[in-house]
Amino acid sequence: MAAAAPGTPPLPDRRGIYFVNGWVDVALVGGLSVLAGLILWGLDARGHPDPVPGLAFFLGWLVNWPHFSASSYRLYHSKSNIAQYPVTALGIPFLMLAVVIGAFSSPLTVAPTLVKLFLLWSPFHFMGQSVGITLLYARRSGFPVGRLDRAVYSGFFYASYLSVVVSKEVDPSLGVFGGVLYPRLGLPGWMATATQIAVILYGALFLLQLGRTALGARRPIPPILLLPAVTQLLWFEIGRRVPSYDQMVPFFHALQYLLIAWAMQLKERLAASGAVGSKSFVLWESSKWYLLNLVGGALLFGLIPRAATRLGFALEFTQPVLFAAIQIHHFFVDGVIWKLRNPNVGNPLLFRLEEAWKTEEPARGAA
Amino acid sequence: MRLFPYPGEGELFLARVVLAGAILVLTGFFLTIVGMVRRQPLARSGGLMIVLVGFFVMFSDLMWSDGRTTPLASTAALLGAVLVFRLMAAFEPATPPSPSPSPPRAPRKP
Repeated sequence: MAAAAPGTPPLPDRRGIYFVNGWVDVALVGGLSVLAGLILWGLDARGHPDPVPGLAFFLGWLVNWPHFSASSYRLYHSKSNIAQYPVTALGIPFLMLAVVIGAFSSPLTVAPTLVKLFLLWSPFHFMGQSVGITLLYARRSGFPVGRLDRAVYSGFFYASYLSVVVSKEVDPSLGVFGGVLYPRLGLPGWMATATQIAVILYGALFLLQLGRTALGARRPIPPILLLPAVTQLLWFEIGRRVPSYDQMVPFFHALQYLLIAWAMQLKERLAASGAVGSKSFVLWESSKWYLLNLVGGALLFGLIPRAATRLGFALEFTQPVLFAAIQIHHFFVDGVIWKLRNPNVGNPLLFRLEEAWKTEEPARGAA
Repeated sequence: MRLFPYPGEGELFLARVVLAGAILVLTGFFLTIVGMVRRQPLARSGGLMIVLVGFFVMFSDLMWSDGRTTPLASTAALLGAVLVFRLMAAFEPATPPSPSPSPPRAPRKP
């Protein structure tokens, strides 16, 4: 094996880049969504706009809703977590409750505003996660990220976000989310073209900067660093053309999230329980965590909107209002609990499944 | 064009709503800056909550008024929303755990 050039950061073990392994990480971070996007785009072009009706809703129950529950679980499962983020944990739920009461009291003004704000915020939240995952894999792979790199990467993700939002907001007609009508902003048409040009320019800058940094550090670019950017681009670009794919984007976002939240959960459980890693430990902890979040997701998005119909509102109204409120709460929670700068977050996120999976063999000859 | 009428609305009412929202946003910003300068996370997060509420009030007014259709107002609404989302992404820094109380001193020897 060739020795590293002096001054070059040591190349980590290739397996250390991934939480599980290359196949699983690539599939969950973006591989599956890229594949699905290309298939659905092709089918749409051949006149099959929605090959599996109801699939997105079904996947919502299994993956998307549990991902919201997973972030709430991460914040609320211990008193020390709540004490670390008291305003987010205790203040934001009351704020959202007040907004929901306002929406129920004023269904023609407050409710559409809430829905509108959520619809603008949701892709911004997806974008934030894409940036975070890029930086996380850069850290895991030991790839240097300076201020300029960060600015350029963020610039690309922002441009991509603005491009999709502006393209939807140019149209001045009313939109509908569930049973709630909301107005569009009616932005000038030139903004759609301008933001698309910005995506192309920032995309080129993104690649150039990655290449420049790789040359400076004399090391190859780990391909997974490009995956969140490609994935987000496809989510937004194919999503705006193919409605069946657009409906599945939250599912793919949730897949990314669950991979990371699951790794964090295993790492924390391993440290807290003092247990020795083993396959049964991983399976038991993972099943317990997933089932809990499956129930939590069903409670948040299945039960609560249905219970709210007792107040005399139709499900077509309670669902979008409560979906928006619960998800905005989630945006706040995610914004604070996943700061990579926080060593209590950044360090455990260097975890590899191997650490928890491999049974520690007792030392030979030990008494 | 107004999409849905406000109850008992009037242009004066709408102007007051915008003014109220703007006051809330400015108050929230002030509190946030004070919280950041004095390193008081509670003031910072509380201030950001007020900014969000103020923005929500202004945004709701803009959405239902004629102003929505002017390019300047709709662009300002979008950029304002992006700025608010960006601010909310730094809503609350992690509060370090309070230090554990020091162990009781051993009794002095007579």
